[in-house]
This record gives sequence, structure tokens and C-alpha cells, in this order.
Amino acid sequence: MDEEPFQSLYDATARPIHAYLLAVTGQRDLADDVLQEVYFRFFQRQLTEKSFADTRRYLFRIATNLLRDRWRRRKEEQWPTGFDQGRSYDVDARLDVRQALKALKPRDRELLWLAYVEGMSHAEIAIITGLNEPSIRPLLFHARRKAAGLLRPKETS
Amino acid sequence: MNRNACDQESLLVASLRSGESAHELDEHLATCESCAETGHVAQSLLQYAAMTSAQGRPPTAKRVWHKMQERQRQFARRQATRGLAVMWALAAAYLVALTTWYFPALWPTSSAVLEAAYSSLSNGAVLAGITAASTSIVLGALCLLFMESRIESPATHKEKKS
Repeated sequence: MDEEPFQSLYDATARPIHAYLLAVTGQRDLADDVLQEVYFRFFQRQLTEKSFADTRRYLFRIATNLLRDRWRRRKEEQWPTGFDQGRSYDVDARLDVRQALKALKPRDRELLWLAYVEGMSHAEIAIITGLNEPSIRPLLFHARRKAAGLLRPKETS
Repeated sequence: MNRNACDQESLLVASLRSGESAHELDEHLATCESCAETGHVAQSLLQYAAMTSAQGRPPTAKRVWHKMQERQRQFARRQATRGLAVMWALAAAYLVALTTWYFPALWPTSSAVLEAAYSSLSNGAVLAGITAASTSIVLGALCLLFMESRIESPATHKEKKS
């Protein structure tokens, strides 16, 4: 692939992938690094004959796999995993989306972002995340419930 | 309607993403708990996405392209030097084996041993073996130097380009 076709592919796909990486990692530097790695992996495989939709899905899949790899390698350092049970989220103030995303598990963040921001079908999400298609619906439901609980201000009694 | 599965959910998400609201969906949202929750979460995420998209731009295509080219060169260099590393290891192993085999024979513990060693050197077969081994080492070393000189370092490559 030459510079010009790469540039048009990058311009058409980088922004949503970067936003996805930023939402899942919560770290700008990490998102930038992974984004570059995504395109390097894609570039190495020379998959130019794919359609735009397939390419886009494929790039998201590489991004997701890279995040998983990093998560496995440096779990404690990099990733705010799961909900801190010791901390009370029974707060009067509304948690903003960033805090809510941080409180969610990385997989929940991935699912919510792909489904609601990228508008992907369950089949597409299954391809990207490597999960079974039938399991997407319940997993997304649980992620949505958790997110709704974090985003919705507690009803004052 | 199932609590975690409403047929209207995908329509709702599509409508929120496009920013076009449909009257039927508004009516549906008032009665469907699942869709109301989906709408709330999706709306929050979409607003967050719009906000972060405006603030956090990805690196430019040019920058990523140059980094990719650099990594590609490093990758090619690693691939090429893998063979060299094997050759260096073989050469070192050969040198160790040769030293272990022949060095004790040359150690002048006594004049008799030295004499024996000297006489063995003058033996045609041993001398031919040593000559062949030395020639191989010299040729191997020259080959390695030649191959290394052909592999450009990234710094050299940049200098050449500029």
C-alpha cells in the first residue's frame, strides 16, 4: 500500500477507532499508540481487496485484540478494571460519562461503544470482540444496566 | 417485549445516531423501559463521543505513515539479522570446540608434550585440517562483515534520504 491510499483509508477510519480506543482505555497516549499499532498490523497484512465496511470492521477487531493483549500483559498498571466495590457510588452528584466508563469493565465499554456509538449489529460486534453472537444480547443488556445505574442520578427519597 | 430485547432498540439507536427523532419512537419510549434505558445510555455516550471527538484528534496520517515506515524497516532489519545471529552463534560454537580440542595439545607442560605437539603440526593430515578450519573461519568472518555492511541502520537510511 502506498502513502496516498493509506492516507485516504486512515482519514476515513481513524477517527472512530481512536474515539473507541479513547473510550475503552481512558488514556490518550495509550489510544494513540494502539491506533498506530492497528494500522501497522493492517499494513503488514496487505489486505487491500476488502470492502470498506469489512476493512473498518477488521480495524476495529485488530484494535480490540491489541487492547486485550495489553490488558493481559499489564493488568494492574494500565486498566481500571471493574467496579470498585469499596467505594460508594450512591452519590448525589451525577457521575459523568467518563467516570461511568471508568467504572465499567473494559468489555462492557467495548460493547456499549460498538453498539450505541458505532451502531453496529450484534453480528458485527461478535466478529470484532470474538464473542459468540447469541451472547452479545445478554452481555450488552448487563453492560447497559450497569451504565444506566452509573449515569442515572439517584432518585432522591 | 422482553426486558433485555426490544425490536425497536436498533431503530432507536439509529435514530439517535442520525439525530432525527421519530414521533412513533417517542411514544414507544414512554412505554418501553428497556428502550428508555437504551436511549438514556446511548444518548449519553453519543454526547460524550461528540465531545471527545472535538477534543481528542488522532495523530495525523502523515505521522502514522512515517512511523509505520520506520517500524517496517526495523522489522525487516530484525528479520535479516536473525540469520546473522545464527551464523555468529555457530562460529562461536566452532571456535570453542576447536579451542577445547586443540589448546591442551599446545600447552607447553613439558618439552616432550611440546615436541609431540610440534611434530603433530608437521603431520600432513593435521596441518591440512588446521589450514582448512582457519580458512573457513576467515571466509565466514568476511562473509559476516560483508552482510552486515549491506544492512543499513535507520540512521544511515535517513542520512541517505536527506
